[in-house]
Amino acid sequence: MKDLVIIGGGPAGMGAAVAAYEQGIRDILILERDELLGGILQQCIHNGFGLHRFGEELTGPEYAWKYEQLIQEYQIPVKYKTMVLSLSPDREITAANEEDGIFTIRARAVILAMGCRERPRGALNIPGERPAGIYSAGTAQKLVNRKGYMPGKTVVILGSGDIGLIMARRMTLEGAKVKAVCELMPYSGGLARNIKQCLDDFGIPLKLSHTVVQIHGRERLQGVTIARVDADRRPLPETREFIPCDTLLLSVGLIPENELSLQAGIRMDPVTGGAVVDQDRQTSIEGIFACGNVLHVHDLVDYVSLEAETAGRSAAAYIMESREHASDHGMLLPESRPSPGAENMPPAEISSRCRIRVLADGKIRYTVPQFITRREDCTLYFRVADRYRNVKINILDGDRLLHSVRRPKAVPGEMESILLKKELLGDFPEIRLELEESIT
Amino acid sequence: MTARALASYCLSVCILEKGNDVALGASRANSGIVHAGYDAREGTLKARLNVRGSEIMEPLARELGVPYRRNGSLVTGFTPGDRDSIGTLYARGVKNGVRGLRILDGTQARQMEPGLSEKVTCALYAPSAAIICPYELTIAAVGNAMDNGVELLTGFQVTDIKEKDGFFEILSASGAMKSLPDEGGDAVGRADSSCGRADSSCGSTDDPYDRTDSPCGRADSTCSSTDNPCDSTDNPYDRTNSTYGNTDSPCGRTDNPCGRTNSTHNRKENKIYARYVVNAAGVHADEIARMAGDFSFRIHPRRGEYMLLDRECGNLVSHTLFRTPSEKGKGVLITPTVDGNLLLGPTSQDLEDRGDTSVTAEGLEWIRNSALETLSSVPFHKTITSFCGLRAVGDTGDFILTSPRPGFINAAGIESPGLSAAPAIAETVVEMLADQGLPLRKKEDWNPIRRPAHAFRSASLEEKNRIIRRDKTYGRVVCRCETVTEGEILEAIRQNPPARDLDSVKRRTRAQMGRCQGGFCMPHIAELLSRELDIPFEQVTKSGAGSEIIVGRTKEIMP
Repeated sequence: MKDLVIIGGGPAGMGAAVAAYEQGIRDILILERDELLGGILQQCIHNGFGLHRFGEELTGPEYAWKYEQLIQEYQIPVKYKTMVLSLSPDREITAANEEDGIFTIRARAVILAMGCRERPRGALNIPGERPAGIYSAGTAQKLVNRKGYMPGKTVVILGSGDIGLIMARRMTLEGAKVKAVCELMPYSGGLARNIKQCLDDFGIPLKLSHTVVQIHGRERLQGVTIARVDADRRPLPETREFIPCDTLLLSVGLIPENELSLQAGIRMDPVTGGAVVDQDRQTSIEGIFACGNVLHVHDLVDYVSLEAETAGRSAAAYIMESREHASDHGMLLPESRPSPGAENMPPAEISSRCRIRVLADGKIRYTVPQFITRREDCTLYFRVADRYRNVKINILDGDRLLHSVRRPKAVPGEMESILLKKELLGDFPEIRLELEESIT
Repeated sequence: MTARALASYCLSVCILEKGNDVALGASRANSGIVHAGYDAREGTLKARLNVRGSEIMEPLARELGVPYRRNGSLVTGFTPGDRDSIGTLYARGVKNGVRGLRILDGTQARQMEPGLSEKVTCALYAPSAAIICPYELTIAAVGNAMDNGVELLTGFQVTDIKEKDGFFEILSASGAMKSLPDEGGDAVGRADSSCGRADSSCGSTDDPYDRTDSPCGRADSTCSSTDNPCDSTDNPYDRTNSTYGNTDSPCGRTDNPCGRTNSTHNRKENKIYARYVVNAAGVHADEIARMAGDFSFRIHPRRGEYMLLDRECGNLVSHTLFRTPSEKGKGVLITPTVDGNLLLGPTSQDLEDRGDTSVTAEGLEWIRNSALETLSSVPFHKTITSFCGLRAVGDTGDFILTSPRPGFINAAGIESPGLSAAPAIAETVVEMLADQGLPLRKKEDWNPIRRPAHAFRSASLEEKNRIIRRDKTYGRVVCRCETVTEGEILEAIRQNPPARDLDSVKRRTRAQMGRCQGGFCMPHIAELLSRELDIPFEQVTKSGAGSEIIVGRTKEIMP
């Protein structure tokens, strides 16, 4: 029995481990599938990380190193090259590695920090053959930055997510010709600074409302046909254009990697693709917490770290409480199996002070957390569904306006947040976040 | 299958394959259905061999360690016309000897398959229909054949066949060209390989062989078997990597019992002599036949596109669901796969180009729309990939099992139900060879059993840990989506028939076949291939020469 097992040693897992340690938890184990800590940061050798968290501009590996140093200093054990195969609702973890074989560990608390994966080409059903030369942007990034290999010389990028934008610049710096970045939507899902620094500065065209409609080439990619799409995202045949290229990089979305969460029966949010959590980042199963991109896709690692620290601290508090509970009652651990139907229930409470469901209105796609279970100051993170200017974000209890903030703009590519003071949290079952396209 | 059947006799048999792996034609991409046998008209080869093949498939799959599931099939009908057609199919099935057929009404059908649309009014239930993975079956058959001494030459694209002193001399331009470091593709065009080899005359010490790709579909090759009453039956090379550097002397092979050599290099063999040739060259079978002077049939490719959905969706249906065939075609089929995915397709479009396996927007649209007629809902957002296969459609309407000249046998036009019939086609071809004088003497040490490719995956926890203690690479999960370990990938590269590229590893292990489609594990697998085949990373391919995954090292292509 471990106090705390953290699945994943990327920024989320490391941040959570450090925070839990600093709250006094010592019996911690990090399970990491790679041979080093840092997760995807290790292949993000560009800078721009850490401005919010550390007030300085770091590369990905440098940012990871900040946390890795603490992990070393605190002597938090890590099992590397270890893949978690399953997670049960009573927090039993089965994992495999070369030294231990397939083994199980029980934990008082588990933090899910598995990150996300890229949406592959197959999911897009682009017509054509299946030649070599089509990679997700992250795969190409790994080949270039960690392995030292160039996947191609002439490149088209589909999707203007941040990894795609970063890779447009990276491939250009390595001597490849990036001919275009095509984005299905009329706006980019990437950060504004990345469009400027990765495309504009290198004269790489960003083709909005464009998609790839045909793959050419049998053995190796020979080119792609792109086309403009109409308002319903249907390609317009008369706008078809052939672009010769040997590489197509896809940056068409990230999907939280929640196979373990599903297996454990954790309640999921269909919009985020991650677990439904409360302000502590506790999931619908008591003692299982989630943070980072496995919970919802972040655009800045700084926010991942913040969220991870919340999860780490909450898990620490939970562990202490369950230890007390165990010693009070002379038993090891309270049976924490969720009651029947728990999957339909809000997250279990630690202290049953309130249970407020947070709803989003559609223009706001989702919020994290989705539940508030304690009357404390709480920051709600959210993403909007479209591009808006001069909006008001209203928080309502039924029709009653609780709180409202103005924003000069809100775009899908940038996560927003709003602080909810504890005084506002009354005795009601739900609050609603609403985006008001206000009078300019 | 034919090669595997011949491997049980004292023969020298060789499989000639133009691709970088076996099962790259129709065997790679078809519906994976072992049909019950009511489709083909009574009296045809298709009808007879389908029913026979379906009967012997299960024990065969067991021997080869290939998952096989008898899930039963339903032909769904919507209109009174469909009801009549179902009656016809039923009667035909009974005449063909299909057991257990039943006609159901809509309610009964929905009881059996609750997701069926309310519009379904009747159905033909065939309990003997089954599912199997076509490329896994083919790979296992070739692997078992090789374990029993059959030789496999990949990259051997047959370009000519001559008759010489009672032998067929089978030539490949690509064989010689392979020894050049680069380039070499286009001059040859495509033409599938085929061939045979043989060497009774020569003092080859070893053995057996003949080849043929699985007749379930594709088959790029032909094979020839010779009756060299070989004494040594087992394969001389340690099963690492089968392609040893053959010389091109007629009886060629030096017997370099090679350890690992790599596939694209060193292969110099461009000529094979054989007494018997089996033409199982799939969509190229007519081209091969013409080389042997047989102009009696033509093959054209028929495109079949498919969509594959995540394993989360594999339980959406439990039976294989067909539409009632009509003048508009056979309609979409919906089936679980043995791997637990949901498969939808195929389209049906006649083509000229024998290499065009592209997926079309129209095709996918048709699959989506048709599937929604059969089922009330389909989670298309769970699609993980789409792909396309080519059926080799002959111009006779039936399988073409002929011998235009002594020693040369066509197993051609093996369209649906080719997979189901494959084991029976192999039996037939062996009989035809025997009739033509090929002496069949059983090998004493023939081993029909192949270690299942998924042995590790299906082992118990204790067994897995025992295996990991012995070989720790089985403790390293490489493909996270499908939980495939490094040990299993190494096995795929070392076992017969050896995987030499990323797609070959995928077909053998499922690594890169899950939801991320190799996004995470591809570089790792490429490194394993590079190490095991002893080739630079730059030469690792997705699916053979020309499909290299990278173009060089960083800092090398600066303009």
